[in-house]
Amino acid sequence: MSSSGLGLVEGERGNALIAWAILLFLLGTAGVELLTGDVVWAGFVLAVVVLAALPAAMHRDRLAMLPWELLALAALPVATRVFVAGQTIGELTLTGRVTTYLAVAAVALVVAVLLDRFTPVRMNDAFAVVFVVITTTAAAGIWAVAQWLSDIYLGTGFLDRPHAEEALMWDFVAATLAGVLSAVLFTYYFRRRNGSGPKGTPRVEGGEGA
Amino acid sequence: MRVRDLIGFSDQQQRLITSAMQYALFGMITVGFYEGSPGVMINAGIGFVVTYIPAILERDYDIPMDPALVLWITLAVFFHAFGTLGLPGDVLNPYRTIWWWDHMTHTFSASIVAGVGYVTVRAIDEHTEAISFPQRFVFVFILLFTVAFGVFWEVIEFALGLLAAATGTPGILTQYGIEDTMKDLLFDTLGGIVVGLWGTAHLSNVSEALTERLGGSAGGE
Repeated sequence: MSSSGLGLVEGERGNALIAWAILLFLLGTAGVELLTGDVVWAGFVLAVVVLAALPAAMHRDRLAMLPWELLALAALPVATRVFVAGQTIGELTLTGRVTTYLAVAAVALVVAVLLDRFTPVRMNDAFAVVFVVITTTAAAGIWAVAQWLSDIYLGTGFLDRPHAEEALMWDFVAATLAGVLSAVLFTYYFRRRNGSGPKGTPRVEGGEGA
Repeated sequence: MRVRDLIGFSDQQQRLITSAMQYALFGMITVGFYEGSPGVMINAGIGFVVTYIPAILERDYDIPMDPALVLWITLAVFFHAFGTLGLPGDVLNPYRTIWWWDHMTHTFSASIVAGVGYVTVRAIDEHTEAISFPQRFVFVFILLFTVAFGVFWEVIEFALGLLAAATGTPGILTQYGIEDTMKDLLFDTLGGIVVGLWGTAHLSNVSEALTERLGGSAGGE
């Protein structure tokens, strides 16, 4: 059963310790965001926590955790929203757009690993990277449409800001950029892990290069 | 159920319609040149090139192209190019005068993008041992693929718009505002759904041929 293409769930003590610490930090910020009325962000953070805790829950083993680097990447926008957003370098105001979509990419990779583990879906590294890029870009589109529909039918006013069209386009650009960036990052990451995998299960070679 | 049963055209007639539209696209390039409109020229020109891709795939890569499939691709680029030009003597083009034109072209082109995605994913699934995609996953993936391409398309439109503004030249693709962008994405999704539902019936020949080209025969070991 464990002949999965994406061997990204680890069973090591050190990794699990850091990973649980990250999830605890996320849980804390989700609580604060709920209290301050930032429901959308709280939802995102809670979703990350639930997804990340799934392998441990399904295997009934608290050491079965995703690599902590991946979870750290998913936690990135929470940190950047505190430290980066609103800062200005020269004339450029940092909004944390790209880091947000990098986090979305990390979540997409988490979803890919979970699909590979717990459903009949099987992916290899190369396809996982493609999946991440496509899901990240699509997420930006789906999120924009969801906001737009919510504005129309629920009167939320998500897009009710100056130059909404342009801001949205920059969101799309950021998502595309983050998708490509994460592809590079993950390809490098997979290669390094496969190159010097400490306890990696022997990988079934698909015969396809990139 | 096949498309030709619905429309009632024979293969021969479909080929005829396809080449008629190819000539028309060439005509549009000429008109664009005559009117000094780079937008029309580029849109029709790219469309004209695209209509030859099925022939190249068929001849050089042995990938079977059903005449209906070729017609489908040609129609999509034809409607888009025609939308930027319009009828002779008309000042405004269909993209501006007909409210559903943009929706139609987006659904059309999205369905082609989804088709390419479907065929590729199926071929990879058949070809690679380490990969396995259940039908439901393919459907969701096709939708994501189409929406992602739609977003990418909007980014291209935006970038070309910025470029046009920076150089002071007329734009090649036009964005009409937030509502329009959102509807584009919704109709992109519609195109993806259509292919996701009908893909198995119409595109299996193409994906089988692609699987063989990838080197692994679809039949077992």
